[in-house]
Amino acid sequence: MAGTPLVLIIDDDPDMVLLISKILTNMGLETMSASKSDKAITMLHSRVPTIITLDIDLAGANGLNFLKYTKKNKFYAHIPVIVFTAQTSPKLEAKAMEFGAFKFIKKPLVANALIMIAKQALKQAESFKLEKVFNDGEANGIVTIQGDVTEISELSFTLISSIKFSPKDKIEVTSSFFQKMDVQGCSQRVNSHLGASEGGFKTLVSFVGITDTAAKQIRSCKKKV
Amino acid sequence: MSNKISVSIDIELKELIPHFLESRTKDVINLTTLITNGDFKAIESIAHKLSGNAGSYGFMPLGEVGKRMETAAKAKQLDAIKVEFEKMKDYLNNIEITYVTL
Repeated sequence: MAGTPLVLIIDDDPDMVLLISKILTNMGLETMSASKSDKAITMLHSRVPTIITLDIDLAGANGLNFLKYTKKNKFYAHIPVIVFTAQTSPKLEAKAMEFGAFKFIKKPLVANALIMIAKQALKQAESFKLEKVFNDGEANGIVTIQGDVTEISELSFTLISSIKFSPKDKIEVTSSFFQKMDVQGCSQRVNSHLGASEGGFKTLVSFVGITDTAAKQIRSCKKKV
Repeated sequence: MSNKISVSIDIELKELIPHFLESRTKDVINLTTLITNGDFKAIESIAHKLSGNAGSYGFMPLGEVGKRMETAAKAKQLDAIKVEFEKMKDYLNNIEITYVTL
């Protein structure tokens, strides 16, 4: 996403939407809003926001359901979701954090608190870029993220990132180490998901068509990336 | 009670306040009917929003009214709702806003 960061405000109270929008546009952000979770999902598909603010008290438990939806979807899981509520419920806060909320803010909203948290969320979102292309109702996307490459061999490497890849995902990992080992031009294929770890999800990625020279260089490399 | 109630509001929100107060006037009109009809669910919904938005705009006592009205609506306590409703009307009729830089 180039240009001004975009915030999706999800709240069924028009006065809260106006207020949150005012605070965030004063920060130089662009905003769009939805009063229902299904409309919010439609908006997500058409324009991916940088961050989301979400009223967890949306009718019909739709606030939590929306949060779960974004966090389970690999195209949206990286978007920081700032959750609001007028309830005083430690259980609800725990649930929201369990479902992946970035921060939990109790109403009444304090403008300075929102500004501070929005800045933190923007910082987290900085390393992500997402372009969305829709093709016959199916979401296809190119995601550029940061990750760590560990445990490399001439056959494969382990990637730790914030995305849980599946074998049908196309992947291209670039790294200065890969360039040094002369494997950067080699095709990569997601082999399998290895589970969660500190720092994110572990993915086994195979090299396809690695040259003998590159394989030798990796074998002779005495340290891990 | 007809004493003026002084409220200091962030000057950054000045342009939003007329719309906010208009919305609360509509709430009062709606609540009048809902209380007459004993529609606790709808009263709870309005009160819940009030408990969140009023304080956010800087009208803290009004937010507290909303919270108590919401609790009363959940418990289907019409008398308690009416008490809070009177407080809501009194507050809205008597506020004097000063805009300040926070």
